[in-house]
Amino acid sequence: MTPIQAWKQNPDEATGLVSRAQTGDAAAFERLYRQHAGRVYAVCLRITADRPAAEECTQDAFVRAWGALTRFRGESSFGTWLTRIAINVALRRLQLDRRHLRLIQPDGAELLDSLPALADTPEGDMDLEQLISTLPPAARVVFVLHAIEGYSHEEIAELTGTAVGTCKAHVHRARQMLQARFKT
Amino acid sequence: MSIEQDKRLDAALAKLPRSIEPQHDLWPGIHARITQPKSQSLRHRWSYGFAAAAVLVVGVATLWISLNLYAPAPDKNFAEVVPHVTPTQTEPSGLSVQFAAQLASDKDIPPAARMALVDNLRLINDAILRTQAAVKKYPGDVNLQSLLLDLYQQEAQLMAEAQQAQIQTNVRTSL
Repeated sequence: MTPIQAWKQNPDEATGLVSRAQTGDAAAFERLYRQHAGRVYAVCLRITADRPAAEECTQDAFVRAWGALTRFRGESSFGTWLTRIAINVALRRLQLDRRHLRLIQPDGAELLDSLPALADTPEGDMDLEQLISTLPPAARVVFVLHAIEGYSHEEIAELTGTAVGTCKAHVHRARQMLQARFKT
Repeated sequence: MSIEQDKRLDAALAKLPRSIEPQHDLWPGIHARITQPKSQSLRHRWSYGFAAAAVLVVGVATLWISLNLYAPAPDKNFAEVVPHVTPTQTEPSGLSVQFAAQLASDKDIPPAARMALVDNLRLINDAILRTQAAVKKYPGDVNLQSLLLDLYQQEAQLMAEAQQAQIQTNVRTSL
């Protein structure tokens, strides 16, 4: 593998940023932050659907990553590893949030019954991003992880502690709702 | 759900940005948290360590005291001192038996107080004997063990209070 190919695959590792950060180099970690903040914030924002919460989750994710850097072995890219941490932080945040106490439900049927609230939302000029944010939390989380982040149903089931079938039901229902509302 | 709609949604999803920049620079907050003085977190760790050590010491001390205080007495049975004890008892509690005997013969303490102390001691001792029998029968029952320990503590406390009463009475008598 040429240095350029290595850099394209794992730019952080190739430039030594990760290994420098692992030795406690905060400046190297700041560069990693600059490279990955947008990616981490995007996933936190889509999961929480709340900007202040997403900012807090982004901060928490980087702080946790800093604390766990010595355990990063490079089995996946740094970005993938960091995104996984961010997803866990955002999911935890949702679970702790009283408004979303019923996020992870053992049976998707109950959630599906609660969806009609979206039908009352004036969709007018809503773009897809906004429509996704109006999905109920459980459906939104599963849909974002599957349709945007590319996680498999099995991975999502493991992350969220739900059954694979429930994940599939959430995605299917979310797609139905979005298609019904999405005009362009 | 038509295939056309499906494709349109997938196309729109594919266009969504993978990265969204936060409205504020979050680095200062992160930097402050990851570079906070080590001594602070170290102090927290030490305080947890001290708390854990304190709990351990108290636990071991309680266990040691209870084991030593309530070793079977070779000489007297509680029933010899306090005749109300039920015959189901299996192990006399040595120190409390001696103490009850001493208390019963202490003429300086008013009879009513003496009787109340001996009665209470007898009740607790009776409960200890029954609980000991239960622990023997169900040695793995944590609740029973906890109850037994609690009774030992009650008995020790009562004896301490009785001793205090004896001292006060003796002081008053000598005055």
